[in-house]
Amino acid sequence: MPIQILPPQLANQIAAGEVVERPASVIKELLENSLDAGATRIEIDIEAGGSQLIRIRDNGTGIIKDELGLALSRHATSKVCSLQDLEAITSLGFRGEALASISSVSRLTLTSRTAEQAEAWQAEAEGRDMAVSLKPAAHPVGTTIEVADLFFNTPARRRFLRTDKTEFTHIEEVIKRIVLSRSDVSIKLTNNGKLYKHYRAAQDDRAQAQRISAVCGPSFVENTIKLDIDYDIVSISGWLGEPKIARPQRDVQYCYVNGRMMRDKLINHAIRQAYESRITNEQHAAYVLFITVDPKQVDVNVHPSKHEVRFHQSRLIHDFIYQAVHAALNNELVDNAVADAYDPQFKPIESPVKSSELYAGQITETQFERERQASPTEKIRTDQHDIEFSSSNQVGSSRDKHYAPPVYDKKSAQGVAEQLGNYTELMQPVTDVFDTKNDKNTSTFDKQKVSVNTFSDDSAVRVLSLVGEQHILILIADRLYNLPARVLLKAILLAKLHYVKNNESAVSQPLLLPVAIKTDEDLLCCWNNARDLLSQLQFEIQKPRHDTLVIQKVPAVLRNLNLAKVVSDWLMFMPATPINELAALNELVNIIANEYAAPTQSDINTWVQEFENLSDQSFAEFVQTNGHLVHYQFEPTT
Amino acid sequence: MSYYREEPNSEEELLTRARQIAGLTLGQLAEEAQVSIPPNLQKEKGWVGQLIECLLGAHAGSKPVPDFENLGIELKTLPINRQGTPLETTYVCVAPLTNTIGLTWQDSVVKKKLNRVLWVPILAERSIPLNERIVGYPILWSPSRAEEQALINDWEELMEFISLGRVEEITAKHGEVIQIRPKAAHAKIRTSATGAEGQPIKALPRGFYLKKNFTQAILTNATL
Repeated sequence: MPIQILPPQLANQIAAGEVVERPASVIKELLENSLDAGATRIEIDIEAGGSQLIRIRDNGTGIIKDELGLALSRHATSKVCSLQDLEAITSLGFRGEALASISSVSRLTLTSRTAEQAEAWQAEAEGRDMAVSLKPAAHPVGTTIEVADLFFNTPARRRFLRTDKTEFTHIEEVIKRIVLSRSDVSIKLTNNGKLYKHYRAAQDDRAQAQRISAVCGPSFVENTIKLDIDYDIVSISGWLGEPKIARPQRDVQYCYVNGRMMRDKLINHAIRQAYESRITNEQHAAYVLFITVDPKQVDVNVHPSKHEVRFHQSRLIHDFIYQAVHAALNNELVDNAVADAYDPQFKPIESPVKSSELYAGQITETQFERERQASPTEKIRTDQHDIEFSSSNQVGSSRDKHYAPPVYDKKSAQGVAEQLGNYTELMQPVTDVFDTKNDKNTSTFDKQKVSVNTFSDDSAVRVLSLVGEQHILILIADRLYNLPARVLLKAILLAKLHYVKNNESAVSQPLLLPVAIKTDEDLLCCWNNARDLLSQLQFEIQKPRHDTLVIQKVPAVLRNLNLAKVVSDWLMFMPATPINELAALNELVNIIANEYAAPTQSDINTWVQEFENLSDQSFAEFVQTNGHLVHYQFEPTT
Repeated sequence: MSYYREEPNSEEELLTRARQIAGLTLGQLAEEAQVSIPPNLQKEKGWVGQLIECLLGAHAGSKPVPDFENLGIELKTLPINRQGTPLETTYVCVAPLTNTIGLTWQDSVVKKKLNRVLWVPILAERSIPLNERIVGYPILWSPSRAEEQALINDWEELMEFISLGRVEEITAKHGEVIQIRPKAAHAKIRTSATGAEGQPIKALPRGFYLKKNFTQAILTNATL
């Protein structure tokens, strides 16, 4: 099969596979659209579990005639228009594919009127290219979407549908979630022509309690702890079911992030942990929680159905939710405990560290922590923190007298605000730690490197080759010189030693493995004589025992040599005071040079370059002074 | 050990002492401290560390305070080979598996333990008999900004695993400079932790270890 662009209908049907799983997913997408359009009244009609008909009518802003066609095409949306918008999503939808997907697997009609328009228009997309046809219609301001015969053209998907009753239960669940999150919106649900539920918009607390009661059952409303904590970029509010109404199923667990219903592992984990020891492993907490975070802190663009989010600072959010829930439960239960002192479910949680829980090896650490916590400075910080916390929480606590500000665990001594600040820094990528060594690697000498091309034709000096291991043949103009390699090496070594001696900035290098030299009286005496010179040359030699000298730092020249031998040989050369420095340096150079193996051609190249960098003298001059002129004659060619 | 030395009064004094033992063999040092050398380290794992502690005047012993309490300095011996490469990862502290709520890097034990460390490398290739092993050049170290950032990044990632109940998913491969590994006398020991659903579970105790690349960089930076 050749590679080809898919026709729009097929592309939409593929997308529908992800987004439109069953009638309930259609309801979810359409309800979210209505809410995003600012609707305050929504009517839902369902027939035959939604497979025959889903009709949603709202009083939102509506869609203007010219955009009706676009509304049904894929990747068309009014909710985001740039990447910046995507990074801070404030609407429920944003992908711009719901309507197109739904209309590709059903017969969808979209009727809408804006306040500015005198008449409504109805749009329908048909055929392989999903061409949109428009016709005038009668409709109040707002939008009605009718989805009939869902999956009529995708029999495979249709076969996955369950009984009408089951599908209706799923639909009801989706509606419940919306009902809980938006108490300001009136929602009417009709099933097979009969009014099934009418959730009225709730203006006050009582009405709201009624709404919650209608969704979560009356026992939930009677046994809840109200939660309302606002903290910098995160706030959390809602109702926590008391442990005694914990349920055998997860059916009363509603959690919203920025108004969007979530089934997020991280959030569930934090809440479950907060309920720990209050409910058994088989029970599930009941709760309705609204978490609000800066939209920039979450990524909802994780999954098309948007059941999951990613928090940029997941552990921080997790811990915040845990602490908020834990503290609320704790406070509530402490209050209850006065009335019911023998409540077996109540376990005070004060010091989180219990030595009995620890295995033997861990004790050291926790004691360390405990002492740390008990230290006076730490206490002051904790106190400050508590003050800080309760003051910023006043909004919540004044609204609901019953709810006392939560007291954080001691461990969270550092304010959350401060933590947040730190986090931004924490999340920065590392600038490679190990880069520094590369900088240091370039030694003092290398930095002054001047590029010398020893084989360049333009150069007056040409290093020709290495003869008999120790002799370098060098051509200067048309004169040929033989320079003993050792002479060059020694000149370089001497220059390096002089450099070290005359530059305080020259670094001496510590030896990771210092070298010990067995000493006798004679050697010690020599060492004593040479100490000044040694320190000038950046040697650091210690005498930790009567019979041992330890070389700890050496000038860079001496690295990678047999130091024990080099240094002891050299010390033996300086028995008498005063020391002839020049002779001593020359001797050191001799000794070091003896440690070098016969040079290779590339060694020679390096040396020549080093010489150019180190010496005031030009290399040509050096060769002329120290090399031997080689007399040669060309045999005439016959 | 009958040998006794007061705790040093300053970092300078501590460094001087540490430099004085650098380059000497454990045999020579044991002689100075008047202790006998164990035939092998299998049964006395901490012997080398204890010997160095004793010679430098650290008296915290197993107490949960820095080895040089007054100076706030931890002592860490670091086995290396002749090329100066660390032979082992370096144990830092126990990884907290419970009560991690609200724990920040600033308050973490890892941060405290690594705040200021006196690294004492020990040439400890297996082929070298214990008494001939050589004490290396001491390095008094605090993490640089970049090093701390690397530590923080790993710590945050690893702590996220722990707090979100994914402790069993942690392997030694997580983390660029720190790793978490089991730290227990044998594999049957269990401690409390949090499970994937937020429920309490039992897990093998874990410890934080510095990876070799990190300690290698400390050595390299100090001796170049």
